[in-house]
Amino acid sequence: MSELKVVGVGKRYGDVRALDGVDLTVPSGDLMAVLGPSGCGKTTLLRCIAGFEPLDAGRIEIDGRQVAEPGRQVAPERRRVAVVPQEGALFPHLSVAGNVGYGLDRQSRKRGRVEEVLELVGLPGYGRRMPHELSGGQQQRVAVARALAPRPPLVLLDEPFSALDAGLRVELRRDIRRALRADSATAVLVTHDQGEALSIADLVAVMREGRVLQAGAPAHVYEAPADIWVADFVGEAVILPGTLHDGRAHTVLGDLPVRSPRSDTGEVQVMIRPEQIEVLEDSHVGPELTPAVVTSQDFHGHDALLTLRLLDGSVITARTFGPGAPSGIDQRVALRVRDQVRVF
Amino acid sequence: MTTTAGRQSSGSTTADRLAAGVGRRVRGLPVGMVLAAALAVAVGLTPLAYLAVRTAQAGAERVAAELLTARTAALASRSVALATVVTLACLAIGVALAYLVVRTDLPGRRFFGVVAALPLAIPTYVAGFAWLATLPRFAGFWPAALVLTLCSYPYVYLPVAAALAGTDPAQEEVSRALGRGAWRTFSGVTLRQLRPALASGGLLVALYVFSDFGAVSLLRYDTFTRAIFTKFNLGFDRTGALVLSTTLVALTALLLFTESLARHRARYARLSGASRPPLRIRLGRMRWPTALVPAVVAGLSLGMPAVSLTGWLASGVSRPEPVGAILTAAGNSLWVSLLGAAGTLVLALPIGLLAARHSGTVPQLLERASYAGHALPGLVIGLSLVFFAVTLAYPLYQTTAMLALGYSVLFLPLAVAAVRAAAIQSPPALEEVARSLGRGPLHVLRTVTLPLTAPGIGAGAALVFLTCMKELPATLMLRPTGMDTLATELWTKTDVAAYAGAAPYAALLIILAAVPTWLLAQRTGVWNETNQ
Repeated sequence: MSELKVVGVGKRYGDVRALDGVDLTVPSGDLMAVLGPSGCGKTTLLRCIAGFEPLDAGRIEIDGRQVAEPGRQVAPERRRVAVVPQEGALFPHLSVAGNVGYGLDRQSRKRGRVEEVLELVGLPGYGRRMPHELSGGQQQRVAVARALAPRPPLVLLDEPFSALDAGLRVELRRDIRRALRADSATAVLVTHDQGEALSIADLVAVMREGRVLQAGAPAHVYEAPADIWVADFVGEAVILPGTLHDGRAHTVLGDLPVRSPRSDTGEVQVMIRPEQIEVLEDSHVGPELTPAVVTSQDFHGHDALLTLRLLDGSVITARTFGPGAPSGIDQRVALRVRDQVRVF
Repeated sequence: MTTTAGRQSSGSTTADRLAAGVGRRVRGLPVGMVLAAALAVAVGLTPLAYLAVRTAQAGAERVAAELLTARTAALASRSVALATVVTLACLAIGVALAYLVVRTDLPGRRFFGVVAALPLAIPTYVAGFAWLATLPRFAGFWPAALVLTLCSYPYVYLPVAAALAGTDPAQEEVSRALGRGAWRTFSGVTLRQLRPALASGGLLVALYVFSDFGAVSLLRYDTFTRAIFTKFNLGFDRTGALVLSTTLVALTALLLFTESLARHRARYARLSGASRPPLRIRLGRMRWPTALVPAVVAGLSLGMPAVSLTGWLASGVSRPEPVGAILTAAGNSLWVSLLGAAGTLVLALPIGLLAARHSGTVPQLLERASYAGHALPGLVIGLSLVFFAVTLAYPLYQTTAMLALGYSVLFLPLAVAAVRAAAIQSPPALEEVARSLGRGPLHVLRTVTLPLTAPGIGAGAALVFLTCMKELPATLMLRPTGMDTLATELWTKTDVAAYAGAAPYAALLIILAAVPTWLLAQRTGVWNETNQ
């Protein structure tokens, strides 16, 4: 219904290339998270799609209609692209109902669309409040309601949860996902929080220095990162030097089976996810086990991240689940790597 | 969807052409607005440029002959001495009152909090008139210093009170927890926090003393301003007046330069997070005696003029000032101030908007340049505009348009600050959101930008308007012959010791000037903070 297509988009500020040939396609009805460190150009990309910034190269199509190319662009108000900015940016002089109804024509307002979207974001009956009477989370919900009210085919969200505390963030995230689905809107969410990107999105695009390094389903990006940088940025990664030989990587953690094996041999970098590393009591013995010492522990409740020192001095992290796992500082343990590893 | 697409393709061409014509940008800056702002700054700097050109034309010999005299040296030292004494006195009174009102359990502190700001509403020449009309021999250095101090200490009091109300008590608590006593905490932490407020307030006082004309003239203390006016008024000694003006401007520039050198480089950061209201010191048994301090200051600065004016108003009942003359003067005041405020706003809008919306060298430079008028005494601006009109624009000489231009140059900084503050109330992000919700630029201007900025710009315009009504020296020099305003009538009548006749003008001026002061006191938060 409303596919977003970004083709070779470039944008520079003076000497800085904010966007350096960005290609993206978001299928109709999907939510894509654009993930990247601050300064990678993700907000600029959003502003180009919304029509707030002109392009220097490439083109943007919404629903098969070209809305931007260098020197010619459709004004923001003609794109039917709704925006939820970082800090909500509610109109301070309008009530909640006034904010939500801002983009609506009189008919839709009369038909109760305002109350309908307020209910959708979990704020029924808040119409008469003023923005300053709301908490940060409520303001953000109103900003989402305001964006969704005119039923835009495309919604852009610019780090909409970054100012909220963790508990509120998860809840709001879920509600907004539901609201977007209810309107079957296509959406682009910009974030630097990989947890957010992986949990909420149908598609993840990883950006760095104005380029898209990889785009795909969250699970795919996590399991098959395009390069070492993506591997490290999306989720935790243990990166070890190794040599490739006969489809196995020889590392300090032993000979490990390589996923999608390559026939060549030589020096490689081996990427292992911390949850692949099993931590056992050092009473276990076996050829596949590697001895190590626990140097610190980050306890997260459902899991814990252990920092371990191997005999050769290299330091790695491993994720353990449940209370049974060894975790004392200076405790000797034995490590085993599960499943296949990736090499680059 | 297809219908909207069709409408868009037909409409977008016109819209795009419009956008291309109106919103042409170079390096992200809107060209039209930059040009308008540059033009406004050029108008604002005309007097200064003219002054420089004329002084240069006079030739080094002539300038030296005027400058290197015992008289000039005496004038300079008198101006500097007055500025020093008044600034120190204002700092002492301003800090003491602010601390008492914001940080102690002083009885009646809400009342004193507002009253302490009110002397700003009294033009110095009105205060000078009030004292002189009561004590006929009240003249010279110390009387002038007293009147100027009583009128200008709020320049220190207001920012210091705001800073004291805004400082995070956590910093003082930390200092106490680290073993520093109450006094060492005050001098080591609190006073340091106040440093920016003290510096800016003290600078305003010193600048004001340099530029003051009314009080020093009435109280017969010779400073630069009085000497310039005498030269201009009696001998029409152009070069002499211009050279003295240039010296005064140089003195002012030196002051600004010293202040910027001395300005501390430290940042006054406040870590984010909610802060609590400031701690209040319990005065204990000294509570009531301490209340004498603000009471005495208020008595001298407000009570004294009030008593004096009431007395002269009452004595004037037998020989009433013709109501017609008062009405004419009031009408003239309103009319020229209206013109002045409108002109100021027209010049200030592009500069303020540019400064609020765009960063970078050009907007910053333009904004800074627009503040130059702030440091120029009204007398100097008046003088250079008179000469400018006489030599280069004779049709403008002695017209209300010229007077309005003088006001615009004088109060441009005031209006730029107001426009800038107002424009920040409507950040571009809000307009972008409104556009993305399908509303065109004009609709967004009407429903978002204007509702958010109009109150601030309106308040700024009102402030300029009322400040124009109070202005004396530039009005004296630039007004059309025979046109009298409230300020000039008061001036003329006091000059010939017709105190009863001057009283109604003084009373009207105070009432008019009280309004912006009230606004200012409320905005700085003194009222709100002390209200809690």
